[in-house]
Amino acid sequence: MLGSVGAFLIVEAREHAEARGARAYARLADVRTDQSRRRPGDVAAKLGRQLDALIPAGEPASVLSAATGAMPATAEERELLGQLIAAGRVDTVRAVGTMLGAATSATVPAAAGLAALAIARQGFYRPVDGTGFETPKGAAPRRIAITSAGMWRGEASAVVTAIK
Amino acid sequence: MKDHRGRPVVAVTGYGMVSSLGQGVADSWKGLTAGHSGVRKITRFPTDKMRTTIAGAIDYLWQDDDTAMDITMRAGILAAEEAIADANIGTPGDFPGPLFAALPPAEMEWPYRRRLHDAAPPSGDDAYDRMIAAARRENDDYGFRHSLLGFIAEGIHEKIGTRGAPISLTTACASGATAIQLSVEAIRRGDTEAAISIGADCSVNPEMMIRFGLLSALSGTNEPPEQVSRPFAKDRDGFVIAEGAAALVLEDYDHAVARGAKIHGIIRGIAEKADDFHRTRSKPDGSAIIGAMRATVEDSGLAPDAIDYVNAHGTSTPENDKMEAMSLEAVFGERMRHVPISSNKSMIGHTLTAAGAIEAIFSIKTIEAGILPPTINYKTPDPAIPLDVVPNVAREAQVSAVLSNSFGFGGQNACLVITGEPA
Repeated sequence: MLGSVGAFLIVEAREHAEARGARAYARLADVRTDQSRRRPGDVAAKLGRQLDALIPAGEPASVLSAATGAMPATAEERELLGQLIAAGRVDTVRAVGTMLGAATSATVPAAAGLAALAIARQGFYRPVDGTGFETPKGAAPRRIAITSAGMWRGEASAVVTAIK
Repeated sequence: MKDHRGRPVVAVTGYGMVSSLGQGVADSWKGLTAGHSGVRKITRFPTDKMRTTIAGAIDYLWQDDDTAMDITMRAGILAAEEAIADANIGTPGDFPGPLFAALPPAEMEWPYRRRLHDAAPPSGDDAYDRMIAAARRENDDYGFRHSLLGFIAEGIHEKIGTRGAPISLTTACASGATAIQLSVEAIRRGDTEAAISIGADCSVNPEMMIRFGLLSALSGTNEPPEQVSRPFAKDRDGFVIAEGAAALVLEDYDHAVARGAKIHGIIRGIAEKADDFHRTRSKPDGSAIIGAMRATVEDSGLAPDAIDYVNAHGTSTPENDKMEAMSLEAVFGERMRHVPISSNKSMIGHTLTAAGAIEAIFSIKTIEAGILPPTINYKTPDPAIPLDVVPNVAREAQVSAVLSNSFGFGGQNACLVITGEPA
């Protein structure tokens, strides 16, 4: 389901923001991109490697996934996220497309904005899927990973953290 | 090795090109320094009733039923493969860095739209409704792929195996320089030790000819084709659209030295500045292009006096060449009258998205070979442009630092300062 979305982020060096007295919502800590050939397993392998680099051991992240619902990419991503939950690397997942639709080019900036907002407001989004895959989150999120596997190409991850 | 701002020095260790003068850097450079023109009468499609009937097309790569995207991808891959072989880096299908590709807009062209229209039975009067019906029914993978911005870069990425998602970009006629800028910045940040920048544009098709004609940008002169592109001459009357592709392997200088790579040159300075004045014209005071040139020289850490040759944007439009000359005099003062400047576009035409990358390679070749390529078709000097344009014939000269200009419609300006290998 396509969604019409526009997202605009002001990304600023910390010193620059502090010097002008601006309030930062969160830190955009890292971004990784790939474009696999989409052989079976490629989506999970690429996203898995990116998240492994972005989520430190012992500091689980909450995930805002931009999964489009297109198969087999979303199935691969869901299985990967399930494994990361079982391994304690991820505590819970929200699929932003459930509320926004698949926002194609705007997906990652929109998810990064939602992640920054959640961290600044010290709360997380309610589970909205009917399958129970999305579970409630008690504590305020400190680290939110964003995953985005395109319908038929492109795999990207980003991580937004609380400012220490 | 670090530059004056403590950033890694960025070397060019490989280059590749296709142009209307030939396939490969060597043939293109040979034609350029011989003062040959690659501009010919268009034979690829009928030009009856068209105002402009000439172009610097690369017909030796053209295949029947090509879209602009097909031939652009083919040219881009050829240039990339030449550059990677020249740099002797990575392994086949595995380039150790990202791809930044300057590419023309992705769009369905008239022949495809016609085919789509004809694929559905007539339905009332509205051709658009009929095409929508056909698109729904055909569910055509070819049409879908050809309408995606990333299509060409994806093809190049799959062929040469770059790291990360391939980046497709456009800053109009500054795009080739912008592609180099993104590689330089990635290496300076320490994100990667190597990157490949490509500019490719093979858009000689009826629609592009008509569009640029409507912008009053193309020359209306057609005879003789090889004498129509006349940068800086008083009788210049528009640019000649052309095709081409160029690829540069850019590398952290220390990384290149450590692996024993040949270093063609150094991208010493790079900057851009936007102009919000008009869709095709510069601010009358030239402040945006003056700012872009000044910022580039400043980024290079060289004194303005160190620039001893300018590879001009020099499109052959009355507006560009006048503004470029005026702005150069603002940046370099009286000295500019004695700094040689020439326009490759007098011979290869204006390769649009690819121009900045092609001209960056010619700038490096100028330093390596010690030869200034000429500005051909310079028969009637323009009193408003009192510059040494290296008229008509190449000239031997030792060059240590080149300023290469790229100014795009929409006010997108990017410049490079290129030097030889550090002693």
